[in-house]
Amino acid sequence: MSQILKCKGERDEIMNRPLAELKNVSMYFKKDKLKIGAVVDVSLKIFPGEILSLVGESGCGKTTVGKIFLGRLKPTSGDVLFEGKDIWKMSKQEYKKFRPLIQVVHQDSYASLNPVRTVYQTLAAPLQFYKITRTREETEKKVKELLQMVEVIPPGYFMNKYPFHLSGGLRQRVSLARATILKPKLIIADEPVSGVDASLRISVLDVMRRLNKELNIAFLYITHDLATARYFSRKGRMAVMYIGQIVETGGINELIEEPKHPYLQALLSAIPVPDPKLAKKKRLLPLKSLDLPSAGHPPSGCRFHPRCPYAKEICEREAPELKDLGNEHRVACHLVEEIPKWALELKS
Amino acid sequence: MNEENIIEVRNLIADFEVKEGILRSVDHVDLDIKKGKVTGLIGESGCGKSTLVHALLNLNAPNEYIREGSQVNFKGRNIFSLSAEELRRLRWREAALVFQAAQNSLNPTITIKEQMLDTIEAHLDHGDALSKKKGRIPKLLEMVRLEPERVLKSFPHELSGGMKQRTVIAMALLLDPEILILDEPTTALDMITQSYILDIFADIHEKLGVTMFFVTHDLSLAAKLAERLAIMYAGKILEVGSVEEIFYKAYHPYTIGLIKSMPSIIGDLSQMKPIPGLPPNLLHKPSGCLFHPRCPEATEECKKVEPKLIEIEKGHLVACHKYSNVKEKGMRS
Repeated sequence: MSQILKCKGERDEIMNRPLAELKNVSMYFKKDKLKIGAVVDVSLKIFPGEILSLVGESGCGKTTVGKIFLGRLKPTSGDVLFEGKDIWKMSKQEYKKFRPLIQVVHQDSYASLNPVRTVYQTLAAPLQFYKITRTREETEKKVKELLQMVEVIPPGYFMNKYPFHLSGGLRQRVSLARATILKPKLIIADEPVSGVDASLRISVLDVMRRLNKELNIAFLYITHDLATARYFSRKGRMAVMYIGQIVETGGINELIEEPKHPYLQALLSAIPVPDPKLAKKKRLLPLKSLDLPSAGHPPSGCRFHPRCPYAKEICEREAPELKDLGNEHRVACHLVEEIPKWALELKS
Repeated sequence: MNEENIIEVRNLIADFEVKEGILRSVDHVDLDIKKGKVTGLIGESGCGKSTLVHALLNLNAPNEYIREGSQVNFKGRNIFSLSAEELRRLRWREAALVFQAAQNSLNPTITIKEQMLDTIEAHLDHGDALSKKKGRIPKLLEMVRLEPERVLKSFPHELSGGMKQRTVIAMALLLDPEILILDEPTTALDMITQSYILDIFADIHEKLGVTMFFVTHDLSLAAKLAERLAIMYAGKILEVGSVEEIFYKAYHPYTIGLIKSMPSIIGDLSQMKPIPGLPPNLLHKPSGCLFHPRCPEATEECKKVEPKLIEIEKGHLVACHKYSNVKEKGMRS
């Protein structure tokens, strides 16, 4: 018995060690003498093999968070860790080892593929540069395998196409294939399906799910679209951002079914659903203001207070901290105990 | 011409001349837009829905050709046989169009008030009507939930995206059109603003009774706003019906596939699945039914013979050889 417990303890420790972590990270940009806090005191953990969805509206700082994880932007303050090491304090050797382990897939699949290279050339370049394959035959075989994996079929046909020959969905699959070449542990996917046709969107998400399951690659899925986040991450976690700050985190299903922060409630109340009876009944949570304040002049206290229908005096004065409600569900709201319960209507 | 219809599209064919040849963007389309109703047009990018919308007001691209025999009958007049002067009178006064990303269609160098007055003067002749319409400006801005005093003296850059979009909607209503044509009216807006604007459309429809034709790629938006829906694929209309019929009792395998491929914050995830294959290249269209290469029900007949859009129940039209199969198998959503 004691041995079983010990094993379980060890396993928990490994599972609980984050792959990538942000500790109290802030990122300020200067624009015309104005200091804009794109990310303010954000702490986030990504565990090995998990899918974390980072959800927020345009301008909330979600892309900046992705770039900070990637080491593409150095935060103004706070620590960025990968497998426990601060990526900005790594030696040259350490950094060289770390760098391939995080890859990125961008929103604009057209801009992220070289227009004068064929799919084969795009995928062969890293294989040859890192000496993963040595001969032309080997490279061709590997490129075909990669295309097969992301369901660009038949690989032999698509291999010789240029990006402009491909649809948005196919181009995004090629980007995904390229991102897996160096055996990354984490892929930052920044709105990867917003440029893909509606009927094909979930097929690209299916490919990403497969990479997550079969290759055990963790994903940071950055999106404004809660519906695709729910489809992609299933039982994963979600973090909701509002003007540079995390306002709620937890299991995605729990957050969608029982949102606690008034902002998340408002967001869920605004999302249209593909069911005419439910859609026509759905009412937007009555916000005090429609307009998003600018990150250059953020409101005092809780940043949502000027729009929040429940705001009290304390909300204007003090910034709320993320409080754990149990079950890893954390909310940054002073009034979380007081505000009326809100839930999505699920059946018509 | 049926009295109930404000617009009847008959045999509409729109071709584009491109480098590789002739691209048929709208292919023999028949469609009725019923007076006083909100009709939605659903289609994926490149299916020809914007071409169709522009054709409704005879707004063509330089390399676009509307083929002989095409008709858009606007209250009985074929829009393609009207003179420039007749078109000027019809546009905005009888039918107003809100473009995709319309917030960018405002003139950045003049105030909202000036552009509203310009619009009235460009489409109305001088006289009493003119000053009467001018008097309506503040009321219309209030209807889209804007403060007239603040907005009228502003330049577009002083307004947020959502406010600009609402301004454009108020402008579209300036001359009391009978039909408001909305081409993806909420793209590029955030979720909360989008929802707010959809509520405003529902409000306008209820208060003014204006007919609306609402074009979108997002089924969920159509579910919220539309009463009737038409489904477009590769330049053709495949199914038309009430919004409930389309969502709960669709016949066309493409419609069913499209509904199942929509990720949503509600519903059973295991029921969601993509449509196999890709939309066709409009320069090399498949033979027979355009959807057959992706269709689970396709037979030899579907590969050879193009199905016609037929009325199978009152007000429910489908272009599919196998619709009765679909019905029997209980595939319908």
